[in-house]
Amino acid sequence: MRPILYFIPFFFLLIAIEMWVAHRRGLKLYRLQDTITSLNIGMVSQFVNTVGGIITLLMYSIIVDRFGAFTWDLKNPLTWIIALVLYDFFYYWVHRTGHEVNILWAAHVVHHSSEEFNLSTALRQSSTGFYFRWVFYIPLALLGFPVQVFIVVGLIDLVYQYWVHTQLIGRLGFLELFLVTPSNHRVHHGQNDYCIDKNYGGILSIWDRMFGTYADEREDEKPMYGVRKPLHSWNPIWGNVHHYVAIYKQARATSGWRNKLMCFFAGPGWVPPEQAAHAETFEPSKFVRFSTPSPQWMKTLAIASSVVGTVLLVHFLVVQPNLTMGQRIAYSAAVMVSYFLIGLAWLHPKVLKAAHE
Amino acid sequence: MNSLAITDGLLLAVTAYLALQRHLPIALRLACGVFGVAALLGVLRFSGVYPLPSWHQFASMLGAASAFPLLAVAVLWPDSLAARNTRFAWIVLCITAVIGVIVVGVGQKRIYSDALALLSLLAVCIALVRTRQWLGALGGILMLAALVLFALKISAGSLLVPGDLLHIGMAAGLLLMSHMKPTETVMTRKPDIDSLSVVN
Repeated sequence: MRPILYFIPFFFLLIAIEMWVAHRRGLKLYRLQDTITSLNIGMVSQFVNTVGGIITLLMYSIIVDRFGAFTWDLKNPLTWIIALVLYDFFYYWVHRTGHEVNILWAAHVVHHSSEEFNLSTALRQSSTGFYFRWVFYIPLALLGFPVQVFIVVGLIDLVYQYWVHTQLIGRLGFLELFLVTPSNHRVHHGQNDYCIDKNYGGILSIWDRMFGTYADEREDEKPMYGVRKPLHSWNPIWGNVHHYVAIYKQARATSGWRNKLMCFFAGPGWVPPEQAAHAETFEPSKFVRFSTPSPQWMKTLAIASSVVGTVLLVHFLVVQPNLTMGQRIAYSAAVMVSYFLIGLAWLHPKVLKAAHE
Repeated sequence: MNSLAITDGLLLAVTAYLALQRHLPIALRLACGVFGVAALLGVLRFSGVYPLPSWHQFASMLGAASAFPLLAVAVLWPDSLAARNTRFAWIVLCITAVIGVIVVGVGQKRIYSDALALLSLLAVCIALVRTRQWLGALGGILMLAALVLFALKISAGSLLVPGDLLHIGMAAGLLLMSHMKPTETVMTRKPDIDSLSVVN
């Protein structure tokens, strides 16, 4: 059984608490469509990662077996602390390359596609990142940390990052010096100039300070959340693949192998020379958050789809150890097709017209 | 201390020296860095100071699967981004290393890295002979010969084992190759990265 299963009620409870506190303070931190999309993207990623995660763990365990140099005493707390600190260091690089290499950004962009910033944003995780993330943790395998240590510290790192996705907690004094906090993580999710490519840390922010990517939140310029090439969709499947499609289209429209390769491996902001004249510049004052009409019946339908999705996910996580790989893929595929269709339906012209009426 | 530790030490000295030469293409320096790490682990292993045989094996595999192709990129396409730009040299290194880890480290198909190293050096030799860069070509041929001798487990009498020949051949070959004349394009053309800016 996947350990993340035990955290699902905890995640939902904290979202409910954040909603309640925000309501009491008169803040509007949640929009239904955005929240539902975040939850749906999170669920899709869990379905996909039951297969993708196996690939990661398989690679890791084979490398530990063949090349792991040291034996670690699992009863010694120091083993776990060293592993966690090292994991966090390599996470910094996973995250940084996920932002600074376009083809890897295509996997990570979905996490930043929300134009809100709340605890549900934390659940908006990528379904396609599994293919490259394991590579960065090879040094841990070479050091001989057993696969169970890798899983546990990975989970700690992931779960830690949940609570930093909130606007309700301000600056945390001296903790800002070495920890990833809600304040410095808000900067990471901002699309203002000072926020771009900053604060990649998972638990510790010392890596950002060490490698020059740290930025403090500014009182005079609050972060504007989202990405500069917005998703403009509520479809969780499209959210995961749209940037791959954009890169493919850009590469096709670009002449010369050098520039075609740049489309994949340069930073996400790189523009081919022939398209540079038409490139849109980002103007913060003109930024409008994506929004579509959502009458009550649509809200009810959206909530129902997420509830059904959650139930299916929990069921899947419970039964998946007894399923064959083929059954897991079929189950996941069926759920993803449903999400894809729901996502399409939300923006279908007839639905939008009915919503207007 | 055995002969392998000494010849690995020689390779380490040469690769460290070349990796620090700022005038050399970054791809060549990076490839030397990978060979250097493998050589350092070899020194630690064969001298008995701190043997980590699995790491030496891993680094050697990375050298064959990623550093040789990177070396080939530096010679075959000297004005490419991968040869001249740190970011892209690292990307080529990472991609080839990952494929190497999957195919050789996980899939145990050692022939992949052996063949890749051999083909890379063959391509380097042909390119250098065609452009009449004799010193570099000699270096390439030395490395190729050393690799073939190592693969065939041929030793030079009782003094040098196949591993020694590989280390010496690589050290001499890299040193010679670093003296090859850069082509005109290398000297005049700057990588087209001025418009590189990163967003999000």
